[in-house]
Amino acid sequence: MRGVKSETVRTLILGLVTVLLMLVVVVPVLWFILVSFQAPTRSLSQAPLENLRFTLVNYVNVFSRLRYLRYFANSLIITVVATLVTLIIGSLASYSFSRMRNKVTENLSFWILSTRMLPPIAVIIPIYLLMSSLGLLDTFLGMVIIYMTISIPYSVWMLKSFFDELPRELDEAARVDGCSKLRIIGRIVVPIAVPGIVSTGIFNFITLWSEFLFALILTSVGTKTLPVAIAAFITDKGIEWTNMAASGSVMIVPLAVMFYLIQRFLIRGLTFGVLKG
Amino acid sequence: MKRLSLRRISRKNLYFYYLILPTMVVLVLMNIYPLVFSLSVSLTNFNLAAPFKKAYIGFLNYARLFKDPFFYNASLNTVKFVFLSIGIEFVLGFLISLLLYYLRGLGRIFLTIFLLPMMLTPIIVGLMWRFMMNFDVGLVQYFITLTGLQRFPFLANRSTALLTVIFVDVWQWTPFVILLVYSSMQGIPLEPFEAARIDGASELQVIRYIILPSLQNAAILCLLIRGMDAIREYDKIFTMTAGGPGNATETLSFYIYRTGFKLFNIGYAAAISYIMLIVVTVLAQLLINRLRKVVT
Repeated sequence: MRGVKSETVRTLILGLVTVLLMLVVVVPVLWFILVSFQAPTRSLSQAPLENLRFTLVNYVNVFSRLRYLRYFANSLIITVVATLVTLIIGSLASYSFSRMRNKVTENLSFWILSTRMLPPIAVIIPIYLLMSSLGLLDTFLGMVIIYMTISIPYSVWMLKSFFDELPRELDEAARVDGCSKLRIIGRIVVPIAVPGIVSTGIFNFITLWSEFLFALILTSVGTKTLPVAIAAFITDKGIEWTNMAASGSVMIVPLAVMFYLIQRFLIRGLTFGVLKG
Repeated sequence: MKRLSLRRISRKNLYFYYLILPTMVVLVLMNIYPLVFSLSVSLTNFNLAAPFKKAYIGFLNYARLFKDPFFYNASLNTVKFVFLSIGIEFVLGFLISLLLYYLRGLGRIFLTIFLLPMMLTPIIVGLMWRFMMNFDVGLVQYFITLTGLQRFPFLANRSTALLTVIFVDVWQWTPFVILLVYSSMQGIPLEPFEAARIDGASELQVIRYIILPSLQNAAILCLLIRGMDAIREYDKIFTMTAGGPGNATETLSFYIYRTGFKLFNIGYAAAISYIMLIVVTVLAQLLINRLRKVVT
């Protein structure tokens, strides 16, 4: 009986600590979203929790005055195109890595992983000069190429982990039935691996949607993406907090939704498919 | 018969290499080429403000680097940032995972809430906390005044700015450690626990001898991924302090950006990049080799 009681007390204390920690996690985010619904003058109050009145003025501002839709569209176009092309190229490579195991492919696949480790800032100067000499600065094509470079190493590993789970006998059977090699991939392997391919795509979308450094340096008026536009709320005159909060909220809410959608593959997605979760 | 099958396999393999080709073309073009080009640029005095005066100056940029106080400052800040944030994230992540583990069923539910910061765009996280800490209107300041203490300019003070940026990184990425560590804990079989309990092992002994050893793979992966991300960290520093006050939060990433794209000194920035690249490549190789043993 005493044992049960001390067990309950312990669980209660642990639960309390957890709830406190969760407040530290949740309050800033809720506060940020709350501020996006406050009038601009309100955010300059020293007693932030008094006189809260809801208004949509920041959202109206952001979507009309600030060319936000244009930036939203830029981000969407670049991210979606780069993700799709990456999935196609990456599927081919990862299918090979999955089906052909030898020293060469193993070394290649680890080299591919190691390119993901390079800090972008360390390669950005030559890439900037390359893009500028090819006339690709501030173009959709240039951004898509860069974003593919970011997402390919990740996708190859993630997709490989899904292809590894498909039995090889499937390919063998199809070949015996006279299916051509590309048809095996297109008609048999890819359709079965759809959940894996979709979740790889979503992970890529999330990464690219948030990408900042390359976009900051390689885009300007023509293809400016959302993160760069939002960072531009920091001006010499100060920060337009409420507008920033509104545009930031619009940006992060879809991400949170996507994350919860792919929760089943979360661990695999965050570890290049190495840990299965 | 054997020779025939060997031949068939190598023909089949050729086809597999073709499938890898597009990936390799993109990666070689966008990774190997910049590495070679970067080296050649780092040996010039190329300046974007005066592009036609570009001249070969040998290793002068590298020589300058070793006398540059800003470079030392940025390197030190990077080291502090990487070690402190990862260290704290590991300890905190492990403790919170244990907490969730002891809460059993409830832990799973709480976990989803703990993961929230990880899902947010880094520049938004930076802006969010900059707002939270704002001297006049920040919620953190408000809570501080409620306890009767004075407002404090966390991000504008030279001695607390870097620690504050580290705090925000810990806020965002401890969830990553929690996710990996907690789910590895879920995979530990129950028998050792029962055996330990029968043998009268203490709680600490169970943690030390049963739980910790089974987290090894998760820890290596965490270290690899978090390590590489911490070294490249740029977004939050950009939106929170832009390297300031003074150069108190200027990391290598930020110093390279400032040298190359604010002062237009591309040649010198390329030299700094190269040093950074060498260090990161060595570290990454060590960790990847470790990972390779785990994977294969």
